[in-house]
Amino acid sequence: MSVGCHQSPYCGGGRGWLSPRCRTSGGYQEYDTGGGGASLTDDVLAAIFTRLPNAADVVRCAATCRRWASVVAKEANALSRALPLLPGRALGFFHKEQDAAAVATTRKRKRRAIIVDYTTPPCFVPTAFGSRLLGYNLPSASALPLGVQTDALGLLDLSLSRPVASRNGRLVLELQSEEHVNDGKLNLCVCNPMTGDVVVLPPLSGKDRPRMYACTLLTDADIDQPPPSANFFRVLIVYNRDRFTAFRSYSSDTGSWSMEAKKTPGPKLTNWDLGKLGHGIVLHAVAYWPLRRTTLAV
Amino acid sequence: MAAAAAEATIDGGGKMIILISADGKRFEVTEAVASQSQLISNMIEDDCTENGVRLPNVDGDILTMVVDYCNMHAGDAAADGDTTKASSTEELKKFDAELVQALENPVLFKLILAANFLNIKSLLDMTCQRVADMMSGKTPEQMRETFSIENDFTPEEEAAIRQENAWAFDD
Repeated sequence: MSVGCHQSPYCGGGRGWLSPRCRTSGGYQEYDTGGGGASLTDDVLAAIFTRLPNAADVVRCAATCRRWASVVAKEANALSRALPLLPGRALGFFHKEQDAAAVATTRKRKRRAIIVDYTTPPCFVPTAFGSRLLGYNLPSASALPLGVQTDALGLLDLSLSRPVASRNGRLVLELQSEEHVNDGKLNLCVCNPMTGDVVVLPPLSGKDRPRMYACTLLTDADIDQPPPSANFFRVLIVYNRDRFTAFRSYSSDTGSWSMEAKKTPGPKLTNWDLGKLGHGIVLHAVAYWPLRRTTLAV
Repeated sequence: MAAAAAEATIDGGGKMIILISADGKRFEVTEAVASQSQLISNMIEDDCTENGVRLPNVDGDILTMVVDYCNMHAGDAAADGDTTKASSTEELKKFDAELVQALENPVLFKLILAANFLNIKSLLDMTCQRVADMMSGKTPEQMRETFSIENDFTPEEEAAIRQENAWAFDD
């Protein structure tokens, strides 16, 4: 095999344009026989795979032969960066100091949120995937828009809030700036940290204000019928009255809280149970909370 | 092609470089044209193009295509002030599309390997995209047929792959 190549410093060692197999075997004549897919070098194959439109195509390529499978396996990192995002991956979670207070902003999975601390702002801890997507690495509160201008309430400080529920990319926050805590109202807002959309729910005040409550979020993806609007969501809260356990929901299409409804069968939940409810599981537009030996379904 | 080469000369890529293919064919191109290959661009910087650049990995007919492509695209970087740019961009697109559409697989693959070896990013992008488009939506069987690949999995292995990744196969 002669040369020309040796004039270049790029063929000898280090990173060249040809794969190691090609360089050591003296040119890629060895691949040059069939003229089929086998004639492509590994690095070229990888470059092609990164241009495939979706993950299913990559998997089917890996299923054609051993060599393609090994290229896909070897280049998995580069490939997964190049491919469009798979749905339902966790971006990270919100974390409060001093406590196991974490609520996940997952798009499909649900985590419990048991939160007591009201003072420090929640801190967002992205996963590797999330930080790549969002473009930062350190735990940060900046995932939440810190100040949001809304028509109804003026400037909102979301750093003084605690996450109470999340689902499909949306997050329910209880606003806890001084003014909100002092006026004896429960102020909830629903925000999408990715888009920056924030909807502030009408405050529940006076006798409507629940003291202890559990909250769950239903989104358009959870409703079996076609949702009334694309960004539909419903916030469901469970809380105790003197004699019974009550429910109330907020729908984004009506823009208001529903009437209070009583939990009819069975006894009232104890406050202890209620405090432990945390975040419900949503399946086919029904929210479930695990109780000690049974399940509460709404 | 001649016009493009002349234009490149005016643009200051006056020095000519001789490219020599594996089968000994010689191509004379300007530095501006040849510099689209990062490999040759680096060689020009290192002053090792005096006696011509031998490209033992690239056949003459493939190198003809590569040189044509480079001549067509030589104006890309330099022609910012060109008033006819809009039309020439369309012409370029058309030229590129015709170049890759018409090729048989073996020739296309050789062109990809040449683009990869010479490190011509735009040509590599275009040709790789063409192959990716051909792969997209095909079953493994169709891909083996299209690209003349031998299935070297055992039936058990193949069944396991399909089972593990059923979501990718049920369309």
